[in-house]
Amino acid sequence: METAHSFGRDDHLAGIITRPASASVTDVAVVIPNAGLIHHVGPWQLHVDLARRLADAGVPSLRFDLSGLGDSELPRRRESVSARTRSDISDAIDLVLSESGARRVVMAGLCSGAVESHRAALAEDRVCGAALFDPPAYGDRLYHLIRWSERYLNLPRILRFLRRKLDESRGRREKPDPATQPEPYRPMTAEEFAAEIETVSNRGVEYLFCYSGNDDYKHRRQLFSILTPATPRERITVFHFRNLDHTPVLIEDRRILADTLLEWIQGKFVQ
Amino acid sequence: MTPRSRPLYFEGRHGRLYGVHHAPTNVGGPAHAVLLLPPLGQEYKRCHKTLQKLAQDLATAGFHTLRFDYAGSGDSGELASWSLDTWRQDGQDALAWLRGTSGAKMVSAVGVRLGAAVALALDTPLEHLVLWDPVVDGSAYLESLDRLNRELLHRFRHAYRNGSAVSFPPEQLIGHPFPDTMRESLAAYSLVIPDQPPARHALWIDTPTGATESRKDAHRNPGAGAGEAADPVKESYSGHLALAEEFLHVEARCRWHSAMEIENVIMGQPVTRHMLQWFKQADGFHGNGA
Repeated sequence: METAHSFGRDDHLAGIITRPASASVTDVAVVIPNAGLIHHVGPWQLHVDLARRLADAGVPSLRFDLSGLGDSELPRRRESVSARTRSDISDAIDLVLSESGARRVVMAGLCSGAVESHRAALAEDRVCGAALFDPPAYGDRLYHLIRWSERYLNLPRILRFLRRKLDESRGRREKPDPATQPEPYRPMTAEEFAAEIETVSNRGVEYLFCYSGNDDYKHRRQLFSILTPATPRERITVFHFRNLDHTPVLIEDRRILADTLLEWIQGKFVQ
Repeated sequence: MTPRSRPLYFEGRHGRLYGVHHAPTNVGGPAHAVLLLPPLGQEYKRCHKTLQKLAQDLATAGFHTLRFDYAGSGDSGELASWSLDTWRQDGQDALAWLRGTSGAKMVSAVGVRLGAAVALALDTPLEHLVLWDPVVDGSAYLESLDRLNRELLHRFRHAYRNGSAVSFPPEQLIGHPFPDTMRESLAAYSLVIPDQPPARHALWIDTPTGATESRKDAHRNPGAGAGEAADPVKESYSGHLALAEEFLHVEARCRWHSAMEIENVIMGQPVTRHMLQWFKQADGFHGNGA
């Protein structure tokens, strides 16, 4: 069952709560903020797929648009983007807890949504888990070695590169517009990210990191290379889906992410 | 004062439909409602913000406006076998909801791409009708979607599957479910001029790539490039333009079927600016007089 809500300090935010058909199996609800500029349905409808899969398994959720994105409007009072986003997520948590009867929240987000989910875990005591799909990644030695070998020791890739350049020069293929090419999304340094993960996880918050096969993440333990010794490893779950794209275009790949999130929630938050 | 929008669900014959109602804060003349009919799948995701802004601007100008998701898409209820017919019925249900809620005597519609097919099938006399880069030939449009799908899959295979074959179920297209029922109805669709004018005033908006794609889709003048002047573009639509009393060629970067920009948001403000101005003029601007 899905219901649409206007909420927030100015009633300016829009979101959808998806409730399980039967009683919730857990006292947590999942909150899903935007991924980049895409409205709350998520890239290729990922957020809708996640919400409905969670509800089928007895977990309520809220997918919503941050101020000024998707169906949400800007609040009347001017704030910095970071303060506004913090307030938006706090408003979203208020709504989902009051509407679903849950007591705690798991934040789940992709790309910029992963960053905001992590920041919410840092700021909000009501957050007990953060599921981050493709959060910022930072290379270690093994990462650079793998990346180098992929580029320079891979004959099919070299041939494809040459064919692409040839096609572009003959006008058979559209040249990529540099302005539209994605940059690695790293809004903080590795040290800052690691220190925050340490703080949050020591507060008892569980982390799920899911990295896709994009160019920023090359091996499963890459994240661990930046973590501090004081970070409790048992609260960090990492998956590296090297066959998945950053915004999973295949329906079955979106199912993999939904199943992973659900199994992690069941393992960590269902008694 | 900027009007506030309200997200909601309303009942349709194919289940609950998600919509956002933008109510005007100050209606000066008789209530006038505008229904926005979005395009298919990824095209809709890409122009969502543009449609949200258009709805907001229309509400500010005094129009009740509704945006909504067709059954089986977006936040609307799941529907396995959707088609152009179910879209038309959803459009009809959305219009009925909008009329009932707003009490408007006059109704208008904006159809974007395939949404134009829905707008033209509404069984209510429209005051104003805007067709933005409408799909004119369903089977050619389907071909261009399949081509884009192949390009996307090709890129995906090489980036994430080492070039190995990926089975890509036919019931998904460009990242979204795409049932056979829609494929069949699209293959059979072509824009037909109805016996009666579809609206008292109609505007056809064409963007460079919209025209180029539509022309290629319709196998007309396939060598033509983007960014041409309006007249040759207009000629390429000959026969269909009788639908609209006005034709406007707007230089906006829509690139609906560019594989390189498949995940980029369409910045359609130049289009919606013209649209809003036209609505105000055609309406005699009896909204709130803002």
